[in-house]
Amino acid sequence: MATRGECRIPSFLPGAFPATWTVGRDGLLLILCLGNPCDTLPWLSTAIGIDLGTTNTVVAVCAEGQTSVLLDESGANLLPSVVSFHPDGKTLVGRDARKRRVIDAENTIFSVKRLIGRQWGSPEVEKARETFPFKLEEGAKKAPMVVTRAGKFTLPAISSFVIKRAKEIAEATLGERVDKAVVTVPANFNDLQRSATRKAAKDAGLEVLRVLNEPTAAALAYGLGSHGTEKLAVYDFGGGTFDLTLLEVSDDVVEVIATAGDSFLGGDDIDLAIEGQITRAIIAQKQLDPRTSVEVMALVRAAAEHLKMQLTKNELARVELKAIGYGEGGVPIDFEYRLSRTQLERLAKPYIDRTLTVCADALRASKLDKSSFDGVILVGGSTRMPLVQERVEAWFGRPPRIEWNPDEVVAVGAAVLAAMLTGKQARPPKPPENDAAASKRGYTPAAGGFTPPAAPKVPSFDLPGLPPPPPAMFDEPVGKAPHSMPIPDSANIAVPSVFPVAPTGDGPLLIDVTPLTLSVEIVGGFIDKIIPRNTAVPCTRTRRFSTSTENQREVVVRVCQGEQDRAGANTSLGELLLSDLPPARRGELFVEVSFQLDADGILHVGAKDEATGREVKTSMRVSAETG
Amino acid sequence: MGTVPPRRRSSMRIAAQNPERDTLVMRWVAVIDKIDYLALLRLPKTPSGPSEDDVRRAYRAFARAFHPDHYRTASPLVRDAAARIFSAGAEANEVLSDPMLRVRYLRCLAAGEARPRLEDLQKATREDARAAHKPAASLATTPQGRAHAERADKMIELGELAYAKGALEDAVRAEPGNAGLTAKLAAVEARVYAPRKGGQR
Repeated sequence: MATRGECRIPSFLPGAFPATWTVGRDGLLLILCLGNPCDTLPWLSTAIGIDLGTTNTVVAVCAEGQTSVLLDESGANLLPSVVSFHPDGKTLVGRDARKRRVIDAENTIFSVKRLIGRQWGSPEVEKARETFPFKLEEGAKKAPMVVTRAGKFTLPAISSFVIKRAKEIAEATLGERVDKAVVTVPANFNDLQRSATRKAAKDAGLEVLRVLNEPTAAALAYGLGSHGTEKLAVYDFGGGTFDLTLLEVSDDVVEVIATAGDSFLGGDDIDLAIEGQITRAIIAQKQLDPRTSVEVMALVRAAAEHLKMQLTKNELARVELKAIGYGEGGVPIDFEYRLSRTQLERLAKPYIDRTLTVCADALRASKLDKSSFDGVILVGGSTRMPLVQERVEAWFGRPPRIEWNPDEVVAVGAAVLAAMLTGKQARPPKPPENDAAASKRGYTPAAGGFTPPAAPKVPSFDLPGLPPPPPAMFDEPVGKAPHSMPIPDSANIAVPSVFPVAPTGDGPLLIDVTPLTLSVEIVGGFIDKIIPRNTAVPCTRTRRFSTSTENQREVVVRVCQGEQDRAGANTSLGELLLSDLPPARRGELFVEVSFQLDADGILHVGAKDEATGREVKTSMRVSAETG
Repeated sequence: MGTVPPRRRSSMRIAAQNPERDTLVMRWVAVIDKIDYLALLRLPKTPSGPSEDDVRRAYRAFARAFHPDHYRTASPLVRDAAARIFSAGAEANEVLSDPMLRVRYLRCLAAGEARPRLEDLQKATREDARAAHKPAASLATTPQGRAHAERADKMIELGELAYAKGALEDAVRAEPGNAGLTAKLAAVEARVYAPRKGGQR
């Protein structure tokens, strides 16, 4: 009889962890676990939802069907996404770091989300090098690195400091181990940006259950309680980006119909417009150019944001800027600025109009009209502006829903999904009562007085033209070519008569779509769409191509993502080489390209030579993990 | 807001291993590339094809059964199988809920082709969309075909799409090899099925 061996415990559960057993001298069975049970037993740890924002990060948890936003020791719900490397060797994260933006600009890193997953030399990174006070450098695999006094860091490493802090907040509040999370990203993030975000969370010691689209998260926070089929529009106007997502929710199934967005449009643009007004006023009245001093500009920027927030409630707001310069004899010059809501709205209107253009575009893509929506959800700090609410209401023809705090709703949705994915039943969350009343109209800013530390703000980028695309190997796709699809006689196929019943089948289910078209480059620098945007994920698509030259020996599959007709204008994800093709006349050799996009937004690409059956495969996530 | 609810570990749900479900998934994946879209979504085979609501309801039930979210704790084999099945079902939903693709697909199905390549279907519908803008009479090549086509054009003008469809069917019968007329018929069929959506394309 065996006295020792290996087993898995508990054997009746999934994810059972490996163990060894021995029979002791007195006949006692000893079982020794190998590894950490928390790694394999999902119910021993807590999963949180993290909304990793450009400006602020929010963390929430869903337990016992109740969802709540986790507050830090000082009771703040927003964790500024800022990391600062202190001269004494400490790494500050959050509000403490934000305070150092003016004092220690070179070592205080903010707005990483703008750059994460982007390549060195891309327009966004080039622009950031000009405008950001901290230093950027080219790192391995063309990934940008930030250079600080504590050393060089990749962008996911910077983000992971923020996530680590969010994890600490969660663990301190919940009093238990947190090792899994759902992290949200803007809907129009591409695969590189998603994998970089995933890596950031992994580095912070969290297993990423899902990288979730922000608007989908918002709908999860709202949509689950509804019965019957409902079409929802999620209008997400944040600090740096704007997104619109159209969803259909029915019987706990959330289906994304379409998404559209503008990654360079946000509340920051409105702040910048106000900032410009103040600057002009200072120049005109005090003959002083505030742009010459970083400290004064930071003051002006904070004032602009303060005015904007004040004007959500009041018709008129004023700020006093102290010591913006020194006159004769060192007398400090103060400056007072007043702004009315009408003036603000005149400044903000062009930006709000641009959001509505995106809305029209998304509706056109979905072939729906405005009246077919049963609800409009507002997400993002910028939606607190009364003008935004009015314009959205006028455009959709119905009042938008703002029961959840627009800053928190994404994290709440992420937490709901985290609970769903860990098999903990998430009942439909209810927006907190008191908040629902408070946020009826005109949101109360969190900070009352005018002492907000300068929030990290980034000017909106202009995208200059890109270099001409490299020559591609492919000819136009082949249309009607003979294919060997067998014509089945369905009577002879034993089709199972029922669907399996999934164990978590009674929970809410989310069917997400891919926000950007995935294509390959073809001859002439054009693209051929393989997986069009708004396709449900996971999905698999194949397409046949023919060679473009005589005796072509190899084919390069260049994968890109985006809505432009030219490959060069889209984001390049990577490439795949299929070599040693047998000699053939041009157009007579067929290569089948397959794209397989999994539920986490990772793309697996395959290219198969139809004549020989030889196949090469790659996964775009590998090349994406540059950080 | 901000207060954390008390938690009891005992009430946490434990997902149990499910050999019965796994066997079913493997049985489905074995036939997934051979069966037609209707069988895949378990839609009944009616002469007129499934309605928009039927498709939507069937797809939701399908997604409930096969969405990868439900298979996170399953073995990799079952998980991959479920993802493959889901991809196929999502494609079925895409084809059947698009009026133009649906017409073309049902035609293939009637001809005994259960799983035409999606790119071929899409190419066919692009032709249909082009034909939709041309008068049927301009597509016909024989006097007999033209007579039917002219009748169809008149009916389309009057908004009598069902009659137009009948006339075009006659025209196609008169000219069986005419791809243009076939495309025009497909476009009209799509409009009969979904007047608003089909007309927009």
